[in-house]
Amino acid sequence: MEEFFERIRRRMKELIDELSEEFERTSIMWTPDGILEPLVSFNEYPDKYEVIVDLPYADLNALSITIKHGKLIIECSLRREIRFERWGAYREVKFHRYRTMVKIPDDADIDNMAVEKDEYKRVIRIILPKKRI
Amino acid sequence: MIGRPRRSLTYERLVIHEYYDPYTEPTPKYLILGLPDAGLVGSIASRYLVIQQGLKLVGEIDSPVYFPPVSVVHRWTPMSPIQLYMDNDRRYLVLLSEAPIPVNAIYPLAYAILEYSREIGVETLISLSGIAVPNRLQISKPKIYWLASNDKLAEMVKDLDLKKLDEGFIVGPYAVILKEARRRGLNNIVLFAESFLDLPDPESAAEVLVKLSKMINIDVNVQKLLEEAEILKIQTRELMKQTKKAMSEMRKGYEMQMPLMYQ
Repeated sequence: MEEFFERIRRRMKELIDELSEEFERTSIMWTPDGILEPLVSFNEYPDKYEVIVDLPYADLNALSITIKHGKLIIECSLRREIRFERWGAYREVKFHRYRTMVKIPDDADIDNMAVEKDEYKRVIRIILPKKRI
Repeated sequence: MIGRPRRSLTYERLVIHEYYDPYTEPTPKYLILGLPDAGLVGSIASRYLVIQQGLKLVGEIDSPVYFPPVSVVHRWTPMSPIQLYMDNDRRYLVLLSEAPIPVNAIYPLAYAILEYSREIGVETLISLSGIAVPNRLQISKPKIYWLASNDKLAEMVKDLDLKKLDEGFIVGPYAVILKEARRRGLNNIVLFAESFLDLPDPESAAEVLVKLSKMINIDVNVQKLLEEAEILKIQTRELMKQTKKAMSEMRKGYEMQMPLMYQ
């Protein structure tokens, strides 16, 4: 019986996550106070998860990756503040930092997470091996 | 500001508005297609071509049925996100889209592009695209592949050191344009640059432009594109995110699969 409820709980959590993702798709990828949301490419392989985060113009020495509530929180400053005279219908927009959160799958082994930085492409690659069951 | 179109042609509830006379000599020989796809390769390449070569807006494609009710504003002029440009020498046209093509619009748009090309006497359609490779991070110089609607077009790429795409799935507007061009006896060649799937890839766009410039003998210096790559990647994040959603709806994942009939 306990297993049954656990299955239901998991399924409900999945549905809530799917709904959240749907909302995220329509969300704005920047804030008026200078935060940019980077693009994230999430790939699943038989033995691992790969998270590629695109951080153009970032200072990768200022990269911070923390784990909180089952999510990777990725933050990084830009090399310097960048200013756009026009940004869509807006005028004078400045950005200084990236920030995003990526949900960690339940079977990811966070203790063996590895991070690679590509300084030329300004991309980071986070490898999360799958837990051996 | 552009005014009223000189002519509007309707193809299955898709309307092509012209601001030029396509029949004045010389008529454009090539139609270059830059639609949002893997790595936004075609979009970035065609945008750069339009800006760097100073092409003029000569048309737009709209639809009250297939496209969302969107106008993009450039220099105070509201227009469709799908625009047609032409060079001063009237040698080639560039069709680009500033928004992803909705799945239900792919077939009608592909047919409209082919019918319009035939109508105005375009000799060859050249599609610029990315082909997603999982190891893109490890690749410093992306390879370019090609595929064409007929064997004659091999002549266009014979000295360019390109690889021919022999087997596999291709998905999206270019896939439909290519197979339909073959059926209709029209010339369409697709250049695919190895790219990221869902991250903008200006370096791949630059590679494809270098090959295009040799193919149709135009002078394109991609240095500025490479210098501006990081800023461009910031500016195109939203388009990439929307394109990723559209690619998912059109089952782009097929491109990573092995076809059943592969031998």
